[in-house]
Amino acid sequence: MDFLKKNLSWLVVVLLVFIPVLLWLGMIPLKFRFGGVIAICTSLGQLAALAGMVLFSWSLILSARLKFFDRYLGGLNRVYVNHHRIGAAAFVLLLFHPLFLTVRLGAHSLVMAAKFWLPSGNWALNFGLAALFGMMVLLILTFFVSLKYSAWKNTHKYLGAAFFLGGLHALMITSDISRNPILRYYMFTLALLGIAAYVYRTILGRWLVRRYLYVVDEIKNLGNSVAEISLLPLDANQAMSYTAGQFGFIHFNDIQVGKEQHPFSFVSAPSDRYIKFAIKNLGDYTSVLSRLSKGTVAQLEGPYGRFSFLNCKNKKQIWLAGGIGITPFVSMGLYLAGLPDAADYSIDLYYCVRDAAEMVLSTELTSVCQKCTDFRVISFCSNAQGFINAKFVSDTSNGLADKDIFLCGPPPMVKSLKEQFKQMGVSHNHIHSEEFSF
Amino acid sequence: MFNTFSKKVVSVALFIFWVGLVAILTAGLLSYEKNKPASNGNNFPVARSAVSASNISLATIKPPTNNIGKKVTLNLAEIAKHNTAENCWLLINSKVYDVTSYISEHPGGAYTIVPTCGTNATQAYDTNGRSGSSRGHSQYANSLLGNYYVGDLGQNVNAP
Repeated sequence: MDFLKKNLSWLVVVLLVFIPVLLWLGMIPLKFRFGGVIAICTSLGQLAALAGMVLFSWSLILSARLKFFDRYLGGLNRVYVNHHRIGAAAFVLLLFHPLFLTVRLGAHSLVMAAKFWLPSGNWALNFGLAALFGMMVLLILTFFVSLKYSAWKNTHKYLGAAFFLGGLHALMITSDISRNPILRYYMFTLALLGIAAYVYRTILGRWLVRRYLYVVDEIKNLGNSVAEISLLPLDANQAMSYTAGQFGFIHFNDIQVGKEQHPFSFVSAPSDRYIKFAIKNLGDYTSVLSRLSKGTVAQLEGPYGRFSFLNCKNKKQIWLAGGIGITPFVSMGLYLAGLPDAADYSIDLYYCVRDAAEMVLSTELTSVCQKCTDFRVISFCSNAQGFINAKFVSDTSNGLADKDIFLCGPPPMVKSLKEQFKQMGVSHNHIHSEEFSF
Repeated sequence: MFNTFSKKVVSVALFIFWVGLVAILTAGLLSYEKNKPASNGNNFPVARSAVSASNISLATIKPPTNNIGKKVTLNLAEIAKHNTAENCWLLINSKVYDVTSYISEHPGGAYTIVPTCGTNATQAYDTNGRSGSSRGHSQYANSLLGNYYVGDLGQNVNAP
């Protein structure tokens, strides 16, 4: 059951790709599909198109940020990781689709093969070429150019237009899709869902997606470039309810800060009247948040994420935070302190920072320690002790057996520790992590 | 934002794509220069093996075979054997056509016919390649098609 939960996302992808491939294989005898080099290249080109189109559709559907996916596909951050990986796979397949098909034309005439790549009076082909090269430009910007988040987001959203052109190409061209009605309906249903997801999130998001209205009540400088922003709901009856450890997307109605939307973990307990975020100045957007003034309206979307001690039955847990990755743990600790069964939990929280000055949220954690008898905070300064490793955690926490491990911090740290814990025999199902990847 | 593995895969794919595309375009340009005198005057390239149907009969361009006197049945399996641009049969409304010599003259581009070689192309022919469209080919196209008729589906004909 745990395996199914952890791998549901990939099982869905395999199933979605398998169905059209099966339909395609059943259309004519295989000896005609794979009899000779040219037939094999043509078949590979067709398969690349089918799989690429399915994956592109699914990647768009995942980007709709639906609560359903957040819940069943392992949390929104994992959904976005899969969105990126599936999008990259779709792009690679769609690159090879025309290359393989060109082999068939090249066997007849090299001029014809070359002309296949140039605009012509054939609009179905023109749409395909426009989709491919449009997608190429946008994904080169995504993968290889360090754009500002806002600029990247603006370019990335045009991938929907490339997808639309690709859909027109698939709709108009004579192919196995046009010859097999079941395959046609399957592919276009998926494509329509992809377009619907794109329209819902990117074009009509500001009207269709629910956003909670809050006002900035206080901005506190916690030191070490970390600001704590406290928000109060505009209408107390319209407050967002969330689980400790989750995150929300926030944007402020402030010209100085800009209206970009960014994800941040809640640092307050869900029972608090305030929603609080602790935001470290890491770049362009976070550097201007200090200019916010009291009374600024904020729009919150969410909550999202499955990273919470409450989603784990095991009450023996190890929490590992790197730097500002402490925020979801503070929220979880504060909430835990108010639970009637708090004493049943045995939790070791490793707060990993470069130096003591970086421990900006230690006051909140001290209050949790006072309320929970079996809640320990282990400070770890990398400047003095080097990078934390799984052996140190195992030695300090008296072994890792029967414990669930929660990790939140810089991606290289989370990745390295995950691998170390797995090497020490901790099951994949007992490691939970939060890596923002938007 | 993206893991290094995805980035590496995309980099390698882009490299292969551009090498392949540049090779195809270069080869196409060189071949076009080489065959320039054989241009049909419509600025449309004449393929290596293609010959204008108006100048030469179908029988003369067929390659010599050892199939003289042999019969074949025009069924889907037989049609599917003729699935390349150099040997292209189409099934249109239960009639089989050998359009190999016409491919390079097709006004919509050779690449619109080639993917349908060896298949039942009725739908593509009736819709001009546009799924769901009811705009078929012209009367003129229908009359041209007769020139390439091989036989009816299920009929026994001499092997090509």
